[in-house]
Amino acid sequence: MTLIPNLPIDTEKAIRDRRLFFRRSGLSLGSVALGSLLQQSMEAANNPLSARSGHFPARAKSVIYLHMIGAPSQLDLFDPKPDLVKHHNEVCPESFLEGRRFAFIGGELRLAGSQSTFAKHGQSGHSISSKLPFLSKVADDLCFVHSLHTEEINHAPAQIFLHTGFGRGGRPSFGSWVSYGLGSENQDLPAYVVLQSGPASGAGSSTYSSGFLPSVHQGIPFRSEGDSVLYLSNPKDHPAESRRRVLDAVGSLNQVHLADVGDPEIATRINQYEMAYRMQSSVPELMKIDDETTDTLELYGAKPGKASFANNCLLARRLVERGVRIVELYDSDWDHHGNIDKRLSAKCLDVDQAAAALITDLKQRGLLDDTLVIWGSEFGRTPLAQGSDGTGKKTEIGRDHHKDAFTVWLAGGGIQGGVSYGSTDEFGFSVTENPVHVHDLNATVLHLLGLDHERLTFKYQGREFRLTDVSGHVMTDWFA
Amino acid sequence: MQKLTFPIACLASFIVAFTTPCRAAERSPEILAKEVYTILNRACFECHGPTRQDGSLRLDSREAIAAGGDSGSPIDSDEPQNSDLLRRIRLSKGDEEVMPKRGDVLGKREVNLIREWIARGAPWSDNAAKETHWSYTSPKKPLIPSLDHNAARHPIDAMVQARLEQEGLKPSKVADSRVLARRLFLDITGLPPNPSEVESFASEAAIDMQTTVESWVDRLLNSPQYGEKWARPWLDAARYADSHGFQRDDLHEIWAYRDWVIQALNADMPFDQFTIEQLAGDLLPNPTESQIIATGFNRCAPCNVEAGTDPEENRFNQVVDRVNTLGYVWLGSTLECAQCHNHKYDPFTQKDYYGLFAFFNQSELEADRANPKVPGSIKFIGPYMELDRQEGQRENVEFDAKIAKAKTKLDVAIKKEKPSKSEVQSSSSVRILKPLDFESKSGSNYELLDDGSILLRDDNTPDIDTYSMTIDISAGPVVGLLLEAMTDPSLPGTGPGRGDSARPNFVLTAFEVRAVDSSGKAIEKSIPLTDAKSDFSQDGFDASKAIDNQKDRYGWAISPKFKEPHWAAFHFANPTDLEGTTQLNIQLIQNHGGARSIGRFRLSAIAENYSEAIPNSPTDSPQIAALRKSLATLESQRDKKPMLKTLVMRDIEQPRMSTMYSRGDFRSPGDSIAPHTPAVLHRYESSGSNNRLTLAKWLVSSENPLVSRVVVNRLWLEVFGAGLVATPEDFGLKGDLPTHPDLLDWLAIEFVENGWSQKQLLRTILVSQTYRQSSKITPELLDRDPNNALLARGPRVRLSAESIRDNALAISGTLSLKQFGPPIRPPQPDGLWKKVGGEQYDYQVSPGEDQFRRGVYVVLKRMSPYPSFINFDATARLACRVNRGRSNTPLQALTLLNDPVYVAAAQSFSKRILEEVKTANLDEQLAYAFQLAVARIPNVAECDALRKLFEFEKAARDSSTSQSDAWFAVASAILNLDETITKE
Repeated sequence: MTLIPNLPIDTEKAIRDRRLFFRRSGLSLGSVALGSLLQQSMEAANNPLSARSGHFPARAKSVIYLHMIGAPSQLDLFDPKPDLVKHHNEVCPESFLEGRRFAFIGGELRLAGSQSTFAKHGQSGHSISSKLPFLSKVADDLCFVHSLHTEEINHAPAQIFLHTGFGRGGRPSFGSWVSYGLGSENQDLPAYVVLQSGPASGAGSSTYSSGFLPSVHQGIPFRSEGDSVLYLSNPKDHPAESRRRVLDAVGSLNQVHLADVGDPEIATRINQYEMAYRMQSSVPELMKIDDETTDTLELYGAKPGKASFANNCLLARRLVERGVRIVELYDSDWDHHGNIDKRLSAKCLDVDQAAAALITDLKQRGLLDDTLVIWGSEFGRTPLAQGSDGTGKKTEIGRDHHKDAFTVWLAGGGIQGGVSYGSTDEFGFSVTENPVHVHDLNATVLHLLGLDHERLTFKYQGREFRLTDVSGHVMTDWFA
Repeated sequence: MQKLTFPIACLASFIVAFTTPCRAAERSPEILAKEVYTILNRACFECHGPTRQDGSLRLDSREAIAAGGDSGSPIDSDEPQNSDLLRRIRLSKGDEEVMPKRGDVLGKREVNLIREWIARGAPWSDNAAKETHWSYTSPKKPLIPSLDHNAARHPIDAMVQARLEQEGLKPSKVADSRVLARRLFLDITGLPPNPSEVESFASEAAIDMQTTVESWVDRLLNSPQYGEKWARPWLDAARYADSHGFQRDDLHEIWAYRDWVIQALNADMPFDQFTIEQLAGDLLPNPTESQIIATGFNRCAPCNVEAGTDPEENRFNQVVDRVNTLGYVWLGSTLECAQCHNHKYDPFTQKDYYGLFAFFNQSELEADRANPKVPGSIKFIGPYMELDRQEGQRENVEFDAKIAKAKTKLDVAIKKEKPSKSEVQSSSSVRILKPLDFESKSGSNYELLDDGSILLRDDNTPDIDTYSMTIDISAGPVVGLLLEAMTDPSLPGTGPGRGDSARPNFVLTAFEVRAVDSSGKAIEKSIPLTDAKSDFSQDGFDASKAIDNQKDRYGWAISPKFKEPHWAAFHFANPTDLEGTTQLNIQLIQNHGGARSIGRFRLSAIAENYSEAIPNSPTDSPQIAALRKSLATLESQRDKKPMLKTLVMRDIEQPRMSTMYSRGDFRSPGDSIAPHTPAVLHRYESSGSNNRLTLAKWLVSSENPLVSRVVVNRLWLEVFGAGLVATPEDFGLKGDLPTHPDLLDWLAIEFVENGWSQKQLLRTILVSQTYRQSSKITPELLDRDPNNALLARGPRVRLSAESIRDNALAISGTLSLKQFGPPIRPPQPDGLWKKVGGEQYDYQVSPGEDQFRRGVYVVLKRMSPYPSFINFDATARLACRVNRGRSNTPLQALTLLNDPVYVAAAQSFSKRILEEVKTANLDEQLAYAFQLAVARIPNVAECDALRKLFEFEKAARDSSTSQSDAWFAVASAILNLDETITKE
């Protein structure tokens, strides 16, 4: 039985090699001593995570995706609108509202100018809010895309759409697609790691699910409480040496059985047990950030033993250093329907320093060229005022969900720093120049990793599925 | 209707198609042309056919091929090797120029056929283009090949072996009888046999294998565990889960539907009826409760209740989900492309899609805004049905009778021992104070009753509340205040609390008194109180906590003495504080949360002699205390019984108009459309009404060419690990061709002729020799047929996630076979259910045997599914899935090694070994343990490995626990074997 259908590696060749091996060995399969050799040969053919090259040379080896759950306001951080400030609290002209969908607001809609102060930074002159002093300092490394738009206006569907190219659950996340396309550079760690600060997103595990791809490609949460990977620790009262003996016994029994029944799945299983064992040391070693220098810890604002976005940024660097393909950071509580100025400031304090430190640190270690960093969210926020929280209680001014134009930034991994791409109208309702659909963003990310989004397909339910459905354009203007 | 037939030539072509290239030369030009047409149709016409001509090239007619495209003619019959078509289909996947551009490259056989076709002058068959795709023609009963030897008497074996003979292969020998016993158990009940069952199977099989298999299959098919094992794949297809999905992923009750599936399978409900009841049980004449429960199938579609969601968008998406699911489950067809446009390769139009959509378009909204103007007010409102469970009812009646009896007993005892409570009130030194005004901080409505009490009236009790009122005390001396918390029939559970009918408690977190000055304003500083007394206080919630000046969640409360009146009295610390005051402001602060506030209360002044007016807090005599306790136990037992209800399908009374939707967008309705079925399939007859019932009947009509093949194929897939059609969800043009088309059709016809009996169908397969073969893979077989498509060996398939857990529990002796009811919660790591949005649940492990029940009962919260199942390829059931993947990952190893569920199983397993074979020697004990897991007897090498582990471990560990540690290591190793989690 083929367990992993349609692998983008030459399985036919691998099976041929395996057959050759059987022939050349000239030995009966009953020989246990043969086990490990046999196992290696079979494993090479079967391992869906073995590293492989993409469709063309890659500009980035890894991606660190910083996802702000709940959607920060682009109008208060990156896309200043003086006209909006000028017309603050005026009733919004109808012409801006035609055909537009909002999640919450309705009735008489008023414009809401930003309370942020903006300044231009770096040689590129990016306008950045004073809420983000650290990021302002690395402005020239960032490529701002002000014209992203999406299809969904509610959090869970939009989060799922951003990750899987489809607004409902069941399809693979982009990280799973990359793992499927490229495998892993590190056989002791998963290819796709998820780090969370704050509670999990509304869409839960469906944003890092492998969907219909084999589950080996799912995103693996590394947790800051309990076991960093579920079930990583040996059971209490059973020391590591004892568990090693169990593993050895399992390995030799599996080899005996492999020799008897000849199913290559058993060879794969043997190797997966060895990888599990290696993870038991590689993951704790990775999570132990107290071996970083004080300077590094201070750069990020990371504190060993604490669960924070800062610690996660530092872990992200450690993960890509070790060859992990995709690291995704989720930070929650960015859904500011009310009291946006204050709450946004507080959230910026959580992430500004660490996100900037990540760029600086990757750069000083020569990793930024190979690592694509993305900062974004499922959608943006309205130029219109909302003055209530989710339950309808009155609050200071906030903003509703906005799917038609929002900002993300990218850095490193083949991206040209200092670029500002796309623009929006005087109030920030619509894209006026260079629109970028979520499918375009995903196509571009795959491209930077050396994958052609039209050729990275998986046949399921009669269709050749893609991350980008039937669209997506690669944004070559962003490239270095 | 056009009667579609299945041409014999076509059937023959399938058989030929799988033969080796050396036979290919024997193909007639007509057959060669047809085969090549099939390949081109699947791989090329999407971009080089009637709708698209990339590179100006068309490949769907003789003339078009001759005309060529932008880069000239694709074929060169004189120099076949120079043909561009041949060159490009031979490039490797991922190459810039490879054809087909998307999807898999063509196989070797297909490339060879095209090479031969070009070399032979590219013969063309106009008939091929006119032929209907195989799956849209009715199954035809094949001729059963009669083989020279009489070994293959079973039609399955005759067909499989005929095919193997063509390939020059031989079937494998029969499997070891112990291994076969385990295979049968796992396939029918999903559980392993116990050693005595294995031994009796083996000894019977040694005498007569065929009879033994038949009798055990019959026996196992009658096991109540059969339905639990076979419900799992159906529930995957039905996307059954215990929560809505999306951000507000609240739990919902639909487990009665899951139980219905298990029961229907156990009863071997014919598949046509099984279909009709699930899709449209509510529309049957005088439907039974069970038939309505069955419609939960439709209600398994995820429901988005996230604040701000458009209810119509959610409804539209649910209908889309129902149509797509119907396509996969009954038609083996991917309809979903046609939501936005005509299907690109299969014969389904967008109109067909919305014709099916219309059947499902009449159901009630499942999420709507409580206030149409407030988008955040969206709530789950989908229809439930309360269950009329005979069993449960009898229990309830019994409970109520017991409770009533206990109450009477208690009342009698209290009356005997104590003065009635009204004596407090009748004391001459107490006078009622009618409030002059009243306000609830949360804005609750209230009523001042004639007896001077205030009754709160509101359907939605706020989480916390503070009551504020003014009283006049000028009528006489006051030394303290009496607060009575009273019952009332209008309160939930009659009160005195107002937030919970089962436990109508309240928590008075603070009782504050302020003087009111001449302007009518309460002064800032409160008047200190002391010496609180009450008739009863809950443990830790003494009345004194209401006057302790602590701003915490504690105060006066009355659990478990609900549903009866209570009182508390407070004394002024310095009577001089009241001098010159005529009015007091009283605040009852109730900040505990959880709507624990008083529903009805009354204030009175205590005039003098506080200690005499107020009796000491009564303490219960031992007799009364005992009676109270037994009453409280009975009540809590009854309250813990879950409300029995389940999600069901219900249509609205005023039908909606159904329309097309441009580009599949719910905001772009187009032309109106009537319910109808796809034109390419058999005729749809409606007897007046056009609804889910007529649709369901159409699906299981004997004329439907797809349904019986699709169902048979799924069942085959569960047994053999792969279907006869390797793409069980897609029998269309892009789906795989059947490996054994004759066998598929024979099974499909048998299935219908046997009254759609799934048990009979399974039996037919399991008693064949094909099933009984050893699953060992020789190097030759691995080379020739790595996927076992030719069935030259038995199935070797890793178990499903649920089965892996069920097996470990069964092997360890801890599995509970308790059936049905609300979902259970096995241990899982802390914190997994914490997330943004929706209700926050505290994950409590099910008590007692419940946590050891089978996986089919494990709670499935869609946005945080049980991780150990996900690690073994279970899905979050967000969409229909008819074929789970089977991956092989390090997380699976970590799960089996370290998940506390498997660690506990290993511990129990090690104890079981010692208990059951206490007196045996070590090798016998190890062999017994091995057999518990995999049924067969270990060989010498295996024995050695286990013994080595045991002895090393024993020597290495502390002497006091070395024996049990060593057995734990052995048990853990055995539970982790590839063989233990594999059906061999």
